[in-house]
Amino acid sequence: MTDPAAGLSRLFEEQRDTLNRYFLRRTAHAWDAQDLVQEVYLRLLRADRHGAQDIRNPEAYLFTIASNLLREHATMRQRAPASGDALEQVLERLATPCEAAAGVDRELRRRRLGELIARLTPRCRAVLVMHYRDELGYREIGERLGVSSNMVKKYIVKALAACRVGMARYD
Amino acid sequence: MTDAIDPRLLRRAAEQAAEWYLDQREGLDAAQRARFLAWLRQSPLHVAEYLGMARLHGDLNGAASLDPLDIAGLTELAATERAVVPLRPLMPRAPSTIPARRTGTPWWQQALAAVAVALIGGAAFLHDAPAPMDVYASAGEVRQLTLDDGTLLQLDRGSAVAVQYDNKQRRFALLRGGALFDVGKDPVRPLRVSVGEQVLEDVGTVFDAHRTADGASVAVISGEVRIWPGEPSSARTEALADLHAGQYAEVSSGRLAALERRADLTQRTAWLPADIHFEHSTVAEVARRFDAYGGKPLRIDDPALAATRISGRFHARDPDAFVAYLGTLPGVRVQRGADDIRVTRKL
Repeated sequence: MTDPAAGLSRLFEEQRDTLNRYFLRRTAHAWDAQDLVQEVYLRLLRADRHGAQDIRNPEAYLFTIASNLLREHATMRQRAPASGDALEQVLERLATPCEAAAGVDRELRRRRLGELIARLTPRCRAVLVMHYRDELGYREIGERLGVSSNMVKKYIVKALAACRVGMARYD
Repeated sequence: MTDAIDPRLLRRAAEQAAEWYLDQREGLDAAQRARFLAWLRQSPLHVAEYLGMARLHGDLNGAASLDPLDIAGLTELAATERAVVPLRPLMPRAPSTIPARRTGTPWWQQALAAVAVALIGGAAFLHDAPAPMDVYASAGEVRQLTLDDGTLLQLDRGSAVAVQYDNKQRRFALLRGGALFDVGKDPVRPLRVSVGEQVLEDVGTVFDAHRTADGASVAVISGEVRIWPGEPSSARTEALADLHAGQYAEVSSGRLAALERRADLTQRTAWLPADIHFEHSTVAEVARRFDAYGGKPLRIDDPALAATRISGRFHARDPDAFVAYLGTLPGVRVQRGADDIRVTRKL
């Protein structure tokens, strides 16, 4: 059995440019990012009615809520009937008018993120780049640097958090 | 959405989000899933950070690929963090190891020896930078920075330039390679560029200068550049040439070796990046950037339009795309003349 959640999270990553515009932009949309996060959060709380046990995959659940909200939002904005509930279709429709802008956005973000990575402490930078660019696992990296896999993961966590905080300033 | 949140709290939430995100990739058991859900439900901040982490993750491969170091280089870099640097030298330092500051050593050589600056973020850094400083461009990419006086510097791949600004003058020394200087206006402080022995002097100009094996090459895109064989301060020196817009000259061994009255500026600036990329820049600044490529100059006649801030990316050799873009702005009119392109307000 294929795991639909894994597919969803991959899709979420792939469609991040579009998602970004709705989730993480503070300006330019009346229905702004904070509202959206707030709404995702509230729906997450409401789901408690059915008991947390029912939520087998919280991440997939989170992404589903977010995607549903996007779809509702898109329907509201475009006054078009929601045709089918394939996430792809909705995202595609959302993405088309602003594809060029999304490309610029992505390139800009990539460069900013690259600058942030360059400013990380030597180990955080080395570990992050080896993991994401060279696709080395924790153990392989640990062997090269003479540290445990656990430490490697800690460095990645630190590096990711530093990048996230750095990028949040631009969002 | 990070306003008014304690930075430590934010950092903590980001770290937790990162940890959960990584755990998620490895697979969670039932107990972990319950804890993850509980964490998400704790705060909208957690939801925001987790969504933010998902997005960041998608950009990581691309961004990490920008890192110039290979695995061996990174391993070496990481090792430097562990190395404990003794605060006191193990051996008393012999006086001879302290570099002597001979009088007469050009300031930029001192600067080169004394200052090794890892420059990140260009202009932002320059505000705080004590002069002099050195700027380098990596072998792979043209480096661009704007200085306080509005001078825009585009540094050719693998080039290095020393910069010194003071109250009297703006001074550059091309240490290696070449650069395009788009000089900001400053009626008080002349701008001079040393290229080997030669000194270039200009007022309000865009020009390209490169070091050659035994001299310099200069191409003037707009304005005028005076080439001196050495420091113009000494009375004996006479200028080698005054170059005007569209001209190109080579100087070798202190003499004018070549002069082209109608130079192929596109060829001379072929090293410039193929696209122009800007963010929240004024229309006037972007127009200046296009002008540096030696096409028909763009004249933005309307001050309000000139000050309008725009973001985007355009093909540098195709200013028409930019002009067409300007034409789409409300109330803007574009007139193509024989010598320039004027952008004005519709009446």
